[in-house]
Amino acid sequence: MENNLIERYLYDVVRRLPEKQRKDIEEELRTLIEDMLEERQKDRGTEEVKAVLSELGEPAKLAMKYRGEEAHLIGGEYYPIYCQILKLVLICVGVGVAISAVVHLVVQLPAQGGGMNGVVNSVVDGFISLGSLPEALLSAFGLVTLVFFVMERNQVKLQKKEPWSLEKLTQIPSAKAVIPKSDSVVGVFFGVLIMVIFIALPECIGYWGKNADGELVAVSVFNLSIWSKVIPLFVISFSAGVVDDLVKLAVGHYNRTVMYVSIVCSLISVAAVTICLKGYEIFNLHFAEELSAITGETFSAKYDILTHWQSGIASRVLPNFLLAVIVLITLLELAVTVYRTLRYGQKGKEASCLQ
Amino acid sequence: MGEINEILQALTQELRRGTIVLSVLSQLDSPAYGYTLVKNMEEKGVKVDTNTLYPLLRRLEKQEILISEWETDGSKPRKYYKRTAFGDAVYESLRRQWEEMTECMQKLLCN
Repeated sequence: MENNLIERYLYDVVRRLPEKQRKDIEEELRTLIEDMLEERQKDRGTEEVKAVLSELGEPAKLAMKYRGEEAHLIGGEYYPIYCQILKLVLICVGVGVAISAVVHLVVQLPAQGGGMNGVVNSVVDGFISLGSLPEALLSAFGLVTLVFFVMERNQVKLQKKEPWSLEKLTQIPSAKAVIPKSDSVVGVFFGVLIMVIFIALPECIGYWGKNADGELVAVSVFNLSIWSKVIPLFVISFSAGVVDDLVKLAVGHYNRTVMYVSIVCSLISVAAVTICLKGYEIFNLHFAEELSAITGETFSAKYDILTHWQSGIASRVLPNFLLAVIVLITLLELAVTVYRTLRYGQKGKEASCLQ
Repeated sequence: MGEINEILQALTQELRRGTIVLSVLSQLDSPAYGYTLVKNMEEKGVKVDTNTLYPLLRRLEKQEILISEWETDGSKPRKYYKRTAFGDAVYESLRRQWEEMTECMQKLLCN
């Protein structure tokens, strides 16, 4: 009985230790226990064994003392950056899954047929796809932790370790360099919303009215026949904007990192939109005709854009105008970011890690 | 006021923790067996928990301050530890530090 107790104790200690050290430590502890028992009493009963093992204390704690400094998963050196990266990744994954749930919901809407039932069904579907959120968050959490665990074990250096000096202390961000959270959140929200509408419901942007039979019909201003080709470009363009806003949200103030991300995202966004608007006929050339067919109206007023729709508005004027507006807004936003970064943002070392 | 004992205990323990390595090193000029070491030190009034000493010996061995050897002649195999040459140097420096420190502490405490 008492031997069994000793063996169980030893097992409970060494199973928590690295394989290589187990045998040695087990032998050492076994002799120690024997000696402690001998010292107490010649004939050793269960009570003595219990007393000795209690003196040695909880196996987990003893094992921890043997393990020394390796007893943590992620140590103090990595912990702050671990938290920052984790926060960023979880936000991105959460937003990503939410977007896909909404897209799913909207895409399902026409397939479910019209009416209240269809709407209810697709909302339910949407919530079901939201159900993958905990799983996605957990996976992201696990993956980030794993990466840091490996770094911890191998003592990977995050940056070249230079001795710290007063000159290199991070600057306190100027009040004017702070990016309001609301700005970024609104940016993300509308970015996602517009993306979803453009991807899933292009047919709904246009004219809604009743035809001669009294049925509700929609005429889209967009050229739906090439829509599947331009969707990837839309996704790239809007995603770049959303990523930009997410980085701003996570960092919270203008700095070099934010500025570089902004420049890259803006370039990607503008490039995708340009290809989209100049490379494809994205507007519905027959919008005016189809509209006339339904409403019975003809467009002939000289300054009505519908009059000239097919003869240049849809193919040249509108895309060019739209492109100009988008490029202008993007450049304006980028200019603000660059100006604030150079004027108020921090200079120096901080740029290499997210703050 | 019941807390004072608890606080005192923690502080004493912390104070003692810093001296353990020096105490142990002082005893390992010649090979000694872990449990005998515990007993010897206890006799001299320095109480070290067995479950602290054993892992500590192993850590010092890893740092090459101590060297160990299994002694299998007796009824049970026993592991004997003693200082290495490097350990001697560490011990001497540490000891000088201790002497300086106690001297200074003495001056502080006499006020």
